[in-house]
Amino acid sequence: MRFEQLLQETIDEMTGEMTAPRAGLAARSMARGRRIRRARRVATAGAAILAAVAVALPWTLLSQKDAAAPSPAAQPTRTPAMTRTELPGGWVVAGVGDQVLDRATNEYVLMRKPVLPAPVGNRILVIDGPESLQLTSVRGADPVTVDPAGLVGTFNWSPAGDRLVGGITQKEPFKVGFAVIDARTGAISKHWIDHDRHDCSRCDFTWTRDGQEVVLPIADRSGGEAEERVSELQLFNAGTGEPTRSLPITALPAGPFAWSPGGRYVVVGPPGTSEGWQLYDTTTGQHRPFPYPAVWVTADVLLATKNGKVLTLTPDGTVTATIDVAAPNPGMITFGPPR
Amino acid sequence: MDTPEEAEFSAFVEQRAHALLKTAYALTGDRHAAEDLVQTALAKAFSRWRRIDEPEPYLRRMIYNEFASGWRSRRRQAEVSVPEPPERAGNRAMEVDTALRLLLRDALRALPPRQRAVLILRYFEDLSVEETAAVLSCRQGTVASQASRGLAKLRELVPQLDWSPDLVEGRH
Repeated sequence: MRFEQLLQETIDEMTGEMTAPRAGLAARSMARGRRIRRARRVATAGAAILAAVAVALPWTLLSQKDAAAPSPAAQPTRTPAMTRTELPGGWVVAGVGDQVLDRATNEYVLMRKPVLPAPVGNRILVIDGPESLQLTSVRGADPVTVDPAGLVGTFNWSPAGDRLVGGITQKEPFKVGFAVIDARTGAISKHWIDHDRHDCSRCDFTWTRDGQEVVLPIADRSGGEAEERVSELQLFNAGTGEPTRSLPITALPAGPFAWSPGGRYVVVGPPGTSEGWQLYDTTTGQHRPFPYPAVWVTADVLLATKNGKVLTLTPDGTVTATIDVAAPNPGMITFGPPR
Repeated sequence: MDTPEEAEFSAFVEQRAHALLKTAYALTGDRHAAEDLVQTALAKAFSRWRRIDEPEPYLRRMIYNEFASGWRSRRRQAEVSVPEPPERAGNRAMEVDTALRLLLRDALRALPPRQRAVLILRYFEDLSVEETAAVLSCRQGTVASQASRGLAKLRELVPQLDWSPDLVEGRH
């Protein structure tokens, strides 16, 4: 007997043994599904903040209450006491925890919802659960709704604060790509990628420092799916979606400012953690451990955070100064360059 | 009282859960594991029910994916002992076929989950390499290599079967 015929008969025979489901399957599934929804709301908000464009570092978790019980569009509620601290090179803390810098007034504005502030400019992405995305100014002006259909993964601001990039998928036929979202209008430009050529596991996209390309970690499946290894970075033209180049780097940068000003070096590591970070030479693939996830201010100065304070570092990882930014309610931090 | 979403989901489970369980049972070879696999997939599907246009293909893909990936890390089943096969020739063809099916069933259970999923999709569901890759969210090359390894293992475990050369090379 031929294999295919025998396999058909074998599986037919097996499936014939499977009796009807036990009572209560729908109820049990719905109960688990509701727990997944609640967890996803928290995780989506948290992941987006972690992927903040400059670099987002975990000081404390987001407010679970806000994430689990979203309400309509976020509005600033009051102006807290935190004041703007000048960092090297004129950089600023664009956002920390639930506070976002209004560059027009130099005041920090308290947010009621999880938000992702742009590193430059005045726009924020309000993440009000997985099915509600809104772009507004820091004080709630000029709101536009972003259609979340098909959007997946994390969102990352462009270095100029004028666009966001996020992942997109389609189920049938299966497709993966990235969406560039206009920060002013909410308009989405979708670019599908050749998933056979550019196979990603965590299909999260971020930017290069010049904002011309988006970056995707390519999966290394040699250790199995669960290992989530990265074999290299593939870059795409942010405007056309065309692949441009690949780099011998085995982790994803946290954002565009993880690249040095000339683009030769980049700090990469596992998202959401403060350990296991590396500094790569993009031209050779040579790398060495770096003590913190960090952003490059200049070719000689980087910024990172530790215990609620801002650190300045040299490219060899030496801490040269500690700056207290006096955040009254520590959370995730987003650094931003001067306007 | 059920919401419209809950009512629709419950009706779907009522109508299609048995078919999904059969698929899961073909993969796992174990009733409890099949129920666990289907319930996991149903829970994930319910969590995004409003966004799913065609639940059954979505659920099937999820079951295959869950089995092929998430189940990899679980403790592997003990190797199944393979009974001594009967002679192939002779006039007891029916009994031979039955024995071969038992052998093949055990041999399938001895395969790693991803290889088992690939072979069932390719040779039971009759999907192409491209379609199988889409279901499992992997490369076509991965499907081909997993199928090749799975077939080689089955050949080793069930040498009594009539193996055609084109099958060993892999079908596209």
